[in-house]
Amino acid sequence: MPDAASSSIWLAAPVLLPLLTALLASFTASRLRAALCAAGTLATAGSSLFVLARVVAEGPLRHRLGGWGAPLGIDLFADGLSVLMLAMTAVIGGAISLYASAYFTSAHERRSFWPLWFLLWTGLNALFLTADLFNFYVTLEVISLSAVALVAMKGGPVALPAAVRYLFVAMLGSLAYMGGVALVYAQTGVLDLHLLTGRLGEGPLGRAALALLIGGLLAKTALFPLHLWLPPAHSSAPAPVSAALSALVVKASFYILLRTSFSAFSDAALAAVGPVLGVLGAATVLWGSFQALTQDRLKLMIAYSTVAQIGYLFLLFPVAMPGAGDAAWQSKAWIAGIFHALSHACAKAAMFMAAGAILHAVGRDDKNSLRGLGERMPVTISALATAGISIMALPPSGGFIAKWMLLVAAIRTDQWWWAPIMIGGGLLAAAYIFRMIRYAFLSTPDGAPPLHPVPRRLEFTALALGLLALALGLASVFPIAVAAIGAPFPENWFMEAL
Amino acid sequence: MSAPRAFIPRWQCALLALGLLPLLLALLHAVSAMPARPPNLAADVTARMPDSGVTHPLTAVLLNFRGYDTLLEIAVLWLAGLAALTLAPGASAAPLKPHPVLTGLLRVLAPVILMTAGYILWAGGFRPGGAFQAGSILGAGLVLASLAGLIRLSPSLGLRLGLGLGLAVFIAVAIWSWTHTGELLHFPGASDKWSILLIESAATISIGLILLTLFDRLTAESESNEKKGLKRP
Repeated sequence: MPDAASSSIWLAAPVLLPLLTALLASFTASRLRAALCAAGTLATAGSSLFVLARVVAEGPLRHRLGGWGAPLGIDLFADGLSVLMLAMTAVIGGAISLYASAYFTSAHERRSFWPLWFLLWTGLNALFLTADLFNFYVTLEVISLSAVALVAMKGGPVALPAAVRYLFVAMLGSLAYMGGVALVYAQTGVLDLHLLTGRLGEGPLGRAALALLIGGLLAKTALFPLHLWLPPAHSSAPAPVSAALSALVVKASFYILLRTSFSAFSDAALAAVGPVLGVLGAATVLWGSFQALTQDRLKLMIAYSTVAQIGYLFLLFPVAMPGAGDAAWQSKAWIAGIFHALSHACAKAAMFMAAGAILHAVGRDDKNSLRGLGERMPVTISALATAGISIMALPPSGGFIAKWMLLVAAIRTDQWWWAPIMIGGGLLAAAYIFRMIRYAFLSTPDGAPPLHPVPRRLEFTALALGLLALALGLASVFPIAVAAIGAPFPENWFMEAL
Repeated sequence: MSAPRAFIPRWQCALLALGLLPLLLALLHAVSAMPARPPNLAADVTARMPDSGVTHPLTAVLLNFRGYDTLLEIAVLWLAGLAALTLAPGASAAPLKPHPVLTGLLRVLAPVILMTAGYILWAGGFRPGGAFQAGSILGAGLVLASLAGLIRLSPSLGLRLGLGLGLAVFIAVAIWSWTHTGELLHFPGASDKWSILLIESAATISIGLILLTLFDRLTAESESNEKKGLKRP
């Protein structure tokens, strides 16, 4: 494992900087807090991108916390996959901070939001930068509790029960995960991922550990049939929170599963688990898409679309697992899954931000409230449409590249049966997005009340992320090259993908 | 989806329990296959104990070998206190006037509580104890004082500073160690013992205050709901 001591020091910065900002933001009063949070956003995002640059220049980095080193201590670790997730969080997180600075107006909302949001950011960065099974659990706790508190901050009869249900599922998921970690430790005596390479899932004890680990993570990622908590929680939160939950938080537990399965799982375990995850993913795609089709409220439609898109992430497991046909195409399925996570993050954050702007302007978000907005809020509707292109997977968007690679990989690895699900999910996405956006291009009803003025920052932040989701398809070479750094597949396979 | 149901029908609970039973049995079967002497890191911990600054292995693991986990756990506790404070604004649940009997009782108990908490904190270095246990005892004392009406919680800057103190000191020590050794939470030279004691002392105060905040906010919230005639969702 290459260890560049000079750079590895900086691995802790994306964790400590937002944590320090959260702490200071809870002490300071309004004017100082605004400046502090702007500085904290820049510092956090900047340090994340700096780590990305170091990993691109030097390869995977490792930092021994406390100077002990695994297995006694905890190691921070960053390779291509971690820094891509870190950079995704930096970009979306920066946009969320920008959006939230105009979205929240009351003193109480601001005092509640900023410390919790920076804590959520801390948890996400800490999760993407650790290589320790138990430390994953601690970071999941930071993420879940701050996310639940952010959903609950709005209060009222819709948000509070949604937050409580989210809390219960998140806690149950954490407990199951923790039980799995305990069994892994009982069997192997170590918690560091690199010391566990290929050792998870052997014997009855290993299989039980794996079942608990995976079950807990699936509940947190909202995979069918453990998805019921997601739509109410994501749709009833304030817009910047919805964006963070759908774009980033569900990716965190998915990331743990992706990272552990392709390094720590034994080949036999991965071969057994892969098809199960694929079937559940397929069911999630179909169920989420059909539910999205029947929603009459924009935010609920977007939330169900998140469920459907999460399903796609899990289709990579059966296609990329070892022994599934053409080996070079497995790596492409793996890359496609990561790329889908990135483009979905941009597109979904853009959609929730646009929905927040509409809710702010019209006061409602049912489909009839969209009437005439094509003329009256062109920037917001453009944001919704550009993000929609990526969700529908039309070229040249990031969503298209991801789903196209996944589709071809499924066929090349002789698993054509996933293809109808992938194509069907795309068609259903087109149906539910067009069904909603259609209303924006109908004429404004007579006697429609004037729109409440919307801060331009809300509209343009959403549009920027929508355009980014589109542009990811045109600039796909760099993320794919980054993902190849330290990937669990030979590097020359990725070169073929480029 | 958006209209929550208050209760799950009993037959659904029974069905769920029945469905989970095979999973429980499978889990028990798996655990029974656990090796009689599971491999663990006890030998590593024992070997490195002299470098840890403390003589109790639990404290060495929590504050030194895996101090980063504890840093994030302290952040979680702080988050719980902060969330309770922001999600349930409103007046304190403590009585407005000090309760004479409880005040008298507290006059006797307070020194004992403080001394016990202080001892448990110090004892963490060489026997079971430390910030979490000491903080709970301190928290119990604070709750008693609040029930007696001697302290009333208000979301003031002072309280916010107190809640964040443990985390702030932990971060400060982490950054200080980083600048001296180049490794986060690698306490330089022989400073392990005093670094750990400093972190634990600050954490004890914050944990006590967090527990008081949770108690006060929950009781205030349920009392105000009862006044409004609202039932629990």
